[in-house]
Amino acid sequence: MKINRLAILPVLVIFPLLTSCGKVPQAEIDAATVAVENAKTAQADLYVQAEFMALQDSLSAVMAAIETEKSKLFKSFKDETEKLTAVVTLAGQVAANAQMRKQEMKAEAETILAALMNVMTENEALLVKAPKGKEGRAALEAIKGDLDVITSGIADAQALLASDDVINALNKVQALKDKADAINVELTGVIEKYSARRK
Amino acid sequence: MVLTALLGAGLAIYLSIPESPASEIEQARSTIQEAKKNIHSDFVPPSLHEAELLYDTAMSKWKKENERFFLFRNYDTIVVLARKSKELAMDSPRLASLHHDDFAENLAVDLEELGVLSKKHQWLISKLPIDKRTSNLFARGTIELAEAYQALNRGQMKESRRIVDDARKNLEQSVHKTLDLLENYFESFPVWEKTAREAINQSARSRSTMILVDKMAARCEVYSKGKLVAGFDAEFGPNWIGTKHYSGDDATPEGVYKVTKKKEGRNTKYYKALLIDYPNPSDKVRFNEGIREGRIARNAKIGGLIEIHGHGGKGTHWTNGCVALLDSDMARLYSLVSINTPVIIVGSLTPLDKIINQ
Repeated sequence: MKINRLAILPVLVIFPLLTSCGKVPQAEIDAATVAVENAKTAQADLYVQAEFMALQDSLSAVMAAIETEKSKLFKSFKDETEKLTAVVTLAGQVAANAQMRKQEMKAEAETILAALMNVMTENEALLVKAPKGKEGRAALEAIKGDLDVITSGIADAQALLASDDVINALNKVQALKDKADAINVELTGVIEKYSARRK
Repeated sequence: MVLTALLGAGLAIYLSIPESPASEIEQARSTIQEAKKNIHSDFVPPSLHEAELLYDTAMSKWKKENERFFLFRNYDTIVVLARKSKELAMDSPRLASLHHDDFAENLAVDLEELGVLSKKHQWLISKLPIDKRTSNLFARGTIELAEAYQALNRGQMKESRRIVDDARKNLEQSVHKTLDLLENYFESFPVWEKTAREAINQSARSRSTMILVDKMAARCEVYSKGKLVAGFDAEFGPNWIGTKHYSGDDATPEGVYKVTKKKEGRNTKYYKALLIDYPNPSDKVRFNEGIREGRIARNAKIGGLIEIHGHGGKGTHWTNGCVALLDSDMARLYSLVSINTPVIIVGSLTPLDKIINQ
């Protein structure tokens, strides 16, 4: 009997050592995963691509480190827990940066759009000022067509902004503004030519 | 004895722990990360996607193995997956670069080509009386081309390609319609050339003066004794492609005419004017044919009072069918010609291929 108890003793001593020592920081893992997802929802992958990639990689590195710890005999997740907390903080920052960048681009698009609308209003006014009758008609017909195309383009750009497709909206409004400016120059030239002719 | 048993058990346990795949996983992870940094997001090759998938699978299996009692863990498959993932990730930048370079080159070529097409035909589109739809297609195409450049400058290569393809469709459609219009018009080129040559030869033979109007060149020239003595910029009716068919069609007639009246002062509101004998017999035949064939309304009039007059220089074709010159040019022309001076009006004296390539 005495011998049996003594034989069991090593197992009784060692077994607890194998089964305890450090719990996986599941709550922190979940929080970090959600934080990275939130950054993606904030379109960080679109607006701050490099930062988002680095964030994803940070989380991957910590997850690998956790599995490395789990593979060990004596586990400690203290470092990994701290890193997960840092990932959550970083994810918040990346999401904020993405929103800021997006707002900057949106403001840029809206500024250009406002300037475009002003040029278009000016173009419409120049059309009214342009010589009536056959003398101006032919030149202005073609310009009117171009203005119609720009007006249609403005509607498309506004739709893109409304659907949060900021980058493509910005591309479109810049291209439209360039065209509207060119027409403004053309219209001004036409009117000046006719006005000079009348003097 | 107890101590020996403990030490023995401890050693047995230590030797039984399988080696974790941490090193292979870390290598795969960092290789994937490095590849992603160096590959444009529009050109991620399938190999990198596969590398990420293998990595995720390896991590998932590792997690599962770690839930097992340590003596029963087996990381062999995870090591294989991680190594394969790393291998694929390492080759990805090379594959991406091949695709990217081809794509970028093709995109650059297309942007340049469309830019040239747009510039080349801007001149034609602005000069010709094309229909509104064709004009709008061209405007849309040029705006899309500018948008494609904007997208490219932001690194959106695939988006730029999508827009370029739209721009190409619109630009090529409008150019195609414009060229169709011109090709149909220029079927009369041999007749114009012959008519002009004969008139100039006649001017030489008879040692007389004639007026030659080239609509495509927007020029009005004076020949005396077969030699060019003066040339002026000219403006016509907005519907100047083609000859005049009826009153109100805003077309400038084409054919052989003569000056029937010289007007100045109170007799004209256009500074000075040379009335020509439109409609000539050919015009009348064409008009009557048009009525018979239903191409011209039965109540249409053939028109008249076509002149070469002043008040031109507006930079556009604006008359009801007359030929307009600057007042100073009109003064000179007026002094060079007299009643019965021949007036030859043709579509073009330059062949179409030269016009398109100028």
